[in-house]
Amino acid sequence: MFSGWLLLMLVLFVVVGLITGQYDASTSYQWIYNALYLPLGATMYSSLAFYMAYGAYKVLRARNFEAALLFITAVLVIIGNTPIFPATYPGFFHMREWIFGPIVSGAYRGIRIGVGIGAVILGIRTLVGLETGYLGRR
Amino acid sequence: MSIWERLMSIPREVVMGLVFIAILIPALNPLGLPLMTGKMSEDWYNTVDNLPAGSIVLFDIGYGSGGYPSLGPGNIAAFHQMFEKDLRIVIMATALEGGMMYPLIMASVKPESNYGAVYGEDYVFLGYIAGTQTAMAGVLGDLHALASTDYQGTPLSSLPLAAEVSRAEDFDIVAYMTTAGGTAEGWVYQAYSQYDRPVLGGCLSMMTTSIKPYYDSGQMLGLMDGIKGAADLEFLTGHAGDAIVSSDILSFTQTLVLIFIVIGNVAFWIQKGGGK
Repeated sequence: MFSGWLLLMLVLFVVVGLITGQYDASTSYQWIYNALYLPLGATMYSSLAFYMAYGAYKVLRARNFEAALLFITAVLVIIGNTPIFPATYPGFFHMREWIFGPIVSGAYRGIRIGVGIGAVILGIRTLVGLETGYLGRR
Repeated sequence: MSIWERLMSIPREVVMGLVFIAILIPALNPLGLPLMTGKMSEDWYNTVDNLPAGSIVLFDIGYGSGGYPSLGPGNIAAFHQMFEKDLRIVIMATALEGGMMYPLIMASVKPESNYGAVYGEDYVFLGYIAGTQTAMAGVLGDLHALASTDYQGTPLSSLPLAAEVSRAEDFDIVAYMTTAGGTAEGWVYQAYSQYDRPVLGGCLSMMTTSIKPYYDSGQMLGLMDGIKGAADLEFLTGHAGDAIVSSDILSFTQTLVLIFIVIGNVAFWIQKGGGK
């Protein structure tokens, strides 16, 4: 049910941490952290690169108008984010900046303001007894 | 199966294998491909560059092992610049693993040997402070009420730099690097909105969408976005490191991804048009 390695590592980290005192000031704890946990943590996150590459290949298909808009935007942002392209032609970078500015920031501000107003309204409705969803009622 | 159908369904192993090769080539043999620095990173660099010597920076290490490959190199470059400018840094961690990142970063920066900095006078590390925004509010509101010792248990009153700061007004600027959206926005709410302190932010590339509006509105003076921003900062500070090598890897892998996307779409449309 439980991995033997998982339990062993759990015990190792707890024992070394408790024996050697303050965890971030202990060279022993730092050593096992740097030798075991740090590479594993970095690997877990970095492995996303492979799945994102495969996901982009499989999913980014301009099947209809909306998907084509998403496809064009994604390709322009990828080009703008890839260091070699803006270094070759700075226009790619400005194009990416423009997408991130008026389009993305504008939309994101709208979302955040909408969420904020929604939260205030939900609070008022809850306080005056109009919102009873939290009690399990519809 | 036609060639177009085959190109639309390239096996996962092939795509990932080619991505692996695209990572491996520049990692083993860095090419030094050209780099264009972005305005967000330039603003970070210029803001720090314009601070007078002796200014006090409150710096939050808000990431752990997962974020280190993206944010660690930028953090190292940022500290190099700050120590070169004779700024004083009060370092804290809002991430649980931040305490473990601190020795890693300092092992690269080497403030004592490279810049003659003295712990306690030029920089101090408060360790991990729990609570995220509560921790930020506490540090900016009354630091000594929140923390009485540094990460090694030395009383703050015995460390000249820590004794000098107690509230938000004592910090000339607040800077952070984090993998957490709550932390990234939290510093804007707590430091800028509450105390009108200038804020510099560092985040993962995928967080740029949600954090950049704060930079666009002027609530943040600079933004280091992921490994690209870190590479920019390394370039601007003249301390080339892992991020610039990673920039080559980004160029290779993202170009490969673009090629795959184009192949998939061309095959899709030709097949849809009746091509065999």
